[in-house]
Amino acid sequence: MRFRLAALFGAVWFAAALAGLEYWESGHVTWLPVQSIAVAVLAVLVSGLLHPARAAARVRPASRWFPAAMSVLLTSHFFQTTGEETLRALRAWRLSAADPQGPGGRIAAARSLAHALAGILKRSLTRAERVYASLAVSGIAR
Amino acid sequence: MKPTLEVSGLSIVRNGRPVLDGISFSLAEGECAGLAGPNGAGKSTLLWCILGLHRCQGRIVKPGATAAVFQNPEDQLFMPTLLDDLMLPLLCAGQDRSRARAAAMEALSQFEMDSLAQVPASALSLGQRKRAALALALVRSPKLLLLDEPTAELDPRSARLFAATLESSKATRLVASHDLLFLRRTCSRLIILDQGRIRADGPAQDLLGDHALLEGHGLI
Repeated sequence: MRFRLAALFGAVWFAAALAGLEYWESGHVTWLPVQSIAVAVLAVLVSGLLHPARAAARVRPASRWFPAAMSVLLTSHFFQTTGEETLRALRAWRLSAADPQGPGGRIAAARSLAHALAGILKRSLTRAERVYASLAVSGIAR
Repeated sequence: MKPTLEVSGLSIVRNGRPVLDGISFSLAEGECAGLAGPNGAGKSTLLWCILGLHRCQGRIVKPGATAAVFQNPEDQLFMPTLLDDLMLPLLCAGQDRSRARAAAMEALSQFEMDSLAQVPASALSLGQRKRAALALALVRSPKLLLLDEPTAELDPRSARLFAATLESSKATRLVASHDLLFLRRTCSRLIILDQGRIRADGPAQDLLGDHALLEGHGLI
């Protein structure tokens, strides 16, 4: 459960960034960030109840549903990856900025949090590249 | 005898710096060669070039059936269970489900992991995941097997188990590693790479006994 919540943290971070960009661009925020969070919460609940990855793993490669099944499997893997990377980044950040003192310390802690969160995207991309490499080598990706 | 892998004049330049510079070598059928070198020598880049995952200049002749075990095996295993992971490439290659299942189970039992068939890879220890990634690589009976730091982060017992499993493979193997003990045990030939160039290529026993050479290239 903790892991699923950590994965949701990534979605909340994405929605916050989206809201910030919307406000910067047009001066107001649409429902899109809230909808993003709602979809993420729904995805967490549905994946917890139905285990779509297990169903997707049963789809045969010759089936026309195979690309959709692979999408479910890879999305599920990336969800886990994002959760892992988020937990790792937040643990590391908490160790290095455990108890910031004074306004300077708090600003530095906030800045380091922003860097830690930005790093999640970079590491997730690296892991996505590795998954693609693995698929390519096993002859699954075309 | 025709070599299984032929690499000639392989070069990559990144940001004006040669990452690989005129790499040429070949591996005979069934040969196991170690690829040693300090951090940033270009070992992983060379493996990725051979796999066709990096663009590079030069010529690579390799068999169609090439498999790899990456340094971080967690992203090679992403299905709900280990059995599903091993079955997937077989199913994609056109095997029917029952044959794929039998072959995957056989590979897992060869690695003494058949009791973990229904477990997701995320629940395994790193040593188990590395062995599972090797089982995944071998399940398609590749002619060429590339391994990137297979013993990194493994305890000595897991590394020994991994080496024993690797030795049982008949594939031509190229193993990039800092673990000289592991290379001494598994490889008859050693290629030393430093700053993108081959600095030495010869029998592993001879090169691993040359302390000046190893020290000069940051290996001891």
